[in-house]
Amino acid sequence: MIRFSFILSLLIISCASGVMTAAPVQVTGANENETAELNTTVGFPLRILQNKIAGSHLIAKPYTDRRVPAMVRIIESFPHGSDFRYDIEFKGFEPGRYNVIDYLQRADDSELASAPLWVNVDPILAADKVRPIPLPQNTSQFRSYYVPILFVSGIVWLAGLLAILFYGRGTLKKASVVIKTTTPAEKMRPLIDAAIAGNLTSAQQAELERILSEFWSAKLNLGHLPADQLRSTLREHPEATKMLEQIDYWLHRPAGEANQPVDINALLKPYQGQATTTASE
Amino acid sequence: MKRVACRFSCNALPNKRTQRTNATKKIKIDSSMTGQDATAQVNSTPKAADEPNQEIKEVIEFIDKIRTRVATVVVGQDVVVERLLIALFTGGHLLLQGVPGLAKTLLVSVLSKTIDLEFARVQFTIDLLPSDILGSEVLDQKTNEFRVHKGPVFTNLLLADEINRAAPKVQGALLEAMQERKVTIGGENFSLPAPFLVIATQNPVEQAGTFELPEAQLDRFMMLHRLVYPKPEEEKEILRRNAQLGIRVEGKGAVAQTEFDMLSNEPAGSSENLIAAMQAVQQVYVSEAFIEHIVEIVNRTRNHPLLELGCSPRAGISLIKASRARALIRGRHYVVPDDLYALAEDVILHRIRLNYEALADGHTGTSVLQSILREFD
Repeated sequence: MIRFSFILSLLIISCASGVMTAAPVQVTGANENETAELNTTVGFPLRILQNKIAGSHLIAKPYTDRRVPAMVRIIESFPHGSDFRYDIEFKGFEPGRYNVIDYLQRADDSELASAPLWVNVDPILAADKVRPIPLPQNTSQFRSYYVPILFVSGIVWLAGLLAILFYGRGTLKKASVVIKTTTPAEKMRPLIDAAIAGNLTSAQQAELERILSEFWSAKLNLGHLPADQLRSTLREHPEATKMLEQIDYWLHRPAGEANQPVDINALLKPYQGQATTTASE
Repeated sequence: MKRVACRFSCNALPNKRTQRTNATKKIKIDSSMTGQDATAQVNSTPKAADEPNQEIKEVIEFIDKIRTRVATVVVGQDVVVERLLIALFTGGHLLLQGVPGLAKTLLVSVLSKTIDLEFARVQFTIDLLPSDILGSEVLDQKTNEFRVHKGPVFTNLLLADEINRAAPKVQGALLEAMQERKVTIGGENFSLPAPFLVIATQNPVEQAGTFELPEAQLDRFMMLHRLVYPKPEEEKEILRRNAQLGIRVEGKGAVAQTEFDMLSNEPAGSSENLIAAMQAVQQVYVSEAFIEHIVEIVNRTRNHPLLELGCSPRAGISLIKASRARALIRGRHYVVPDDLYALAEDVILHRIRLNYEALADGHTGTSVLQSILREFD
């Protein structure tokens, strides 16, 4: 059932397309002795098939004017004894009565004296509609601003691209820098003051310890070392290791293990001076 | 000492409530070690000596024996041995990444023999099935009943060689066993022996035909250590030793001896020593300042503009556990930031993932981690 429907629909489509196609009108067997006139309409091709014209071979006259009212084309020619038979296509662009022979000439430039082959080209439009209906004027404002809009859009697109390429990446880099814009001295000073005053939380103690390590890293020019190597290098340094040991006693060892009590004042005072000096510089 | 162990039981960080409820002298003193109290404390008369107690001394001797025994067979690789011991003492799992021929298998073999542990090795391949590792039910033709055939996972020390070569379902089965420390075969649960430690290896080259472990599964490994080639002096020693290996006569023939033949079957310690070491790790003191360091670093990984994925809480837990074990191995009964910085790369690096911008700008995980560990660029 489905297959039948499919085939039927194909048939309908093919028939419809056959009707819709502008197939030329074909007239067979016309010859020079017949005086019956042929008819067609403006712009619709008319094929005159197997039309015998006496004499030597004919060709279509070349066009010298683009505004010719009709056009003739020899599709194919066949020898017919000493004469020729022709399949000719005629197309009229303006209504009127045309002699097809007028649009042909001998291939050998000899005179063509043949009976006329008249074709009437009838108009389809009414007499006062010989010209196409003019298109309505586009009243949209957009059309008049089309090029400027394109130009402005291009500039905006380019500006956006440049902003992403330069400003966006710059912001990203700044974001990573923002975290670490303060110097060790600036961060160390309030922490040392608080530690000496005894107001340091455990988070601040840890932060102070990290900053002190960085302070020694900067002092000994060890900024290139990874964090673990920095610590081991500081452990080997005679002065830095004293500081680390004192901090170990202060922060990391179980309470009360220090053989010598850690004097936080004495431990941090030198760094307090350093922090003030560096910050003021 | 046991009071401190209770404080860190269940692998959990201490919270404020725990600190308040644990009425131990040490913790009270530690939590009062801030600001004014700290000054008052350090100005008071010291109570105890610097030296660790007798138990810890015995553990340190045991560790020295292990190191000595390993050194008889394996040249160099001190850091790897330390990482293995850390994993063993803390019950964490270790992933070793390195090119072939860096004595990964030899190290694990010698370690298992030194501590008298059961050892099994599984070479992971693409056609390996979960039942090849975990075990399966087999039909006993004599009794016409199914009986459980336990797989190689039922051991103390499991070497999962080239873990990334197996299909994800096999990796998943092993990692599940690692996490839960039990295996289900035929609807019946079986606990894995204690201690149970998985040491997996993966090759950083030859990635064709491999299944990269996803971040969620990498997180199960406490540490991922990247092995490096031995130093020239160490390599010379390896060659000298290898040249003296000789042959072993077997029946009517002989075979060239390898380093594996040099392994002594006499253990350097017993499981009791191992338990003592594991207990001693739990007694290593962790200060509030040290916990603050870890929290700060973990948080930095989560907020770093170049990182797409930061550390999980498991990373912080692993850092504390590994740092305590490292402190003990180094003869300390307290952790210091040196432990944290030394272990950060092995504990953190496989848990973070760079974002697109970082990769496009040519950053590496190591460089980003170092910027996190350092206070200032």
